[in-house]
Amino acid sequence: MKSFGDLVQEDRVHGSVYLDPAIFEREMEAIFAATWVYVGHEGEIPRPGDFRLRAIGRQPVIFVRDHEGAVRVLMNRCTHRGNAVCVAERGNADGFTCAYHGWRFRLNGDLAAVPYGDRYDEAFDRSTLGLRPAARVENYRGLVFASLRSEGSSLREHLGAGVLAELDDLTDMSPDGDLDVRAGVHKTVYDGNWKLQLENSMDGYHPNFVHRSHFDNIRARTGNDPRVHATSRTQAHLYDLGNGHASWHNTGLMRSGSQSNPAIAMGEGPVREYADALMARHGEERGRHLLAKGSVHLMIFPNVIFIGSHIRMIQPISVDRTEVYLLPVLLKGAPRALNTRRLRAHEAFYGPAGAGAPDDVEIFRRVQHGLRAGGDPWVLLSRGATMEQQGGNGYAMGQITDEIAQRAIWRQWRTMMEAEAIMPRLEAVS
Amino acid sequence: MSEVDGPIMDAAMAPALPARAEVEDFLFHEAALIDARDYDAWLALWEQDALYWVPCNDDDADPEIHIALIYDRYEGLCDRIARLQGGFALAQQPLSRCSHAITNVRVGGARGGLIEVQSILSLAAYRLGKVDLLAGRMVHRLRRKPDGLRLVEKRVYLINNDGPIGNLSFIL
Ligand code: FES
Ligand SMILES: [Fe+2]
Repeated sequence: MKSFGDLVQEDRVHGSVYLDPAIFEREMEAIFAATWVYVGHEGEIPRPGDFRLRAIGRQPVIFVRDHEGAVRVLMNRCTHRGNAVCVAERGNADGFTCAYHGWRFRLNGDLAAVPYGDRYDEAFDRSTLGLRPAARVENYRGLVFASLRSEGSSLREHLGAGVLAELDDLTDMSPDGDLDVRAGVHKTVYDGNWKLQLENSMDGYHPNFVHRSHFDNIRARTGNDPRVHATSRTQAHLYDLGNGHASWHNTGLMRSGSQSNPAIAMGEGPVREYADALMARHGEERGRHLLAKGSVHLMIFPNVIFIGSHIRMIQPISVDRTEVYLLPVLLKGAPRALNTRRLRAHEAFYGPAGAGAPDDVEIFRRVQHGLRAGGDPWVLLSRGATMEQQGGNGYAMGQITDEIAQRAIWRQWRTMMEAEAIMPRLEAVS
Repeated sequence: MSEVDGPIMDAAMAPALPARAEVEDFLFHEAALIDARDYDAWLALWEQDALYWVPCNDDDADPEIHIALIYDRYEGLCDRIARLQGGFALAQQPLSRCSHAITNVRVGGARGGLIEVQSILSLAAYRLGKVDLLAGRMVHRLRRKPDGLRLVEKRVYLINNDGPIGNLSFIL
């Protein structure tokens, strides 16, 4: 029997971690049901009764604002006999009425009514039969995470100073200090493991190969070669922020090829207005920092990435099927033209019809296929492993073509998978 | 949505409405060019003020504040076909084999000097052992030129535009 330490070593992982259904089942318990999982932005549900269907791992939950204005994460499962009480993916409701036998729940989950209640005796206690809430729900600057465990570190402890600083930058790029995540969602699906998307979101080694067709178009149109932004000489870095999280910093990088950066030239008016608004709110120094940074590129283990101008949620379906939701972020208080430009830049590259994301997704499918080949079961993650440095922020730092972020993911994965008392059957793994 | 539901006459700008047969011929020709992967000829159907728009999530999404699946102006169209022709777009290695069926064609009216045509698209796209079926309502806005009709706007309202979509890297 192999242990997770055998499967996930410091600089390589065994292919079965992408292929074995038993490992996937365990991930749903040991990772998704055990840690903080991103659920949504509170601005998606501004009014009482607003809701979105979401999932924690494969467990369906309702992300809803109750009548008192509190954000709730409720299990979408009737406490009577298990029917999913909410079917609409989004909307506004007064409460949730189960379609099976008519039990009615309030927006805060309380059980309000049970039809024909005379056939229950006095031991039947409605007050214990509300929709089950996630054990913990915490919010950092509007970003809502839930944990199905009542014990464990707080959200802030789990994220750590490095992640919190990135989330501050993300939110502060709005002149109002608030994000608008109501521009809709791109949903994609691929026949591959969920971790392929997680790893790829922090991979500076692939763009010049996978995105060649897009870069060729940029070069033909502008005369600038975007490939200089993704070589081993590029002055851009990845940081291991701990607990599986990582960030990507382009500071110092010429950004002519970046479409998602709102600060690039797009007509003087809206950009100047935006820059002035940031300076006015944050002062000269922080305003300049935010403008130079342009966008946040951050991965929070296990299910959310902030990249370009969108929030990317990873939704595992099965060991070889994954859905990915891309939610464009508009900056509240920014000129409308700038926000519209963010949308156009996003959809030009991302989403199922973009010039970039479909090619990433195609690679996930091909990797899932290729991993079935035997001979050498290992996936190598050694790139830059002996060249990591200490970054100015105190975190381990690598060059963007290094595999430092992937190593960070797998270290956290192994820690969490080993932490559980019950080991899955791994005999099938060779 | 409702703006395309019935004949709309803009008296000042109204071009003479073509017969349905002429419009059908144009749409069938467009579809045949896409299926034959003659993208240069397809691009030549478009006017410079092109808009190829595939809404996402809601049919009545406002593109200024809502994401689209596709919102290509002329430049975007050029980039899109360059990817299909260049051989390096991984999602189109191999290229999807597409079969467009255009039905239920109605000449809806004229607006802003353009002829508005509604139709239904049924599209089968084959790639790597899998056939994807896509369907939805289309609205074409055409301009009458001396040498025939030209495409100004093409909207495709996919019936599953709020669901997960695997690969839309071909032309609808
Ligand atoms: S399952 Fe919900 S009321 Fe019976
Ligand atoms: Fe990519």
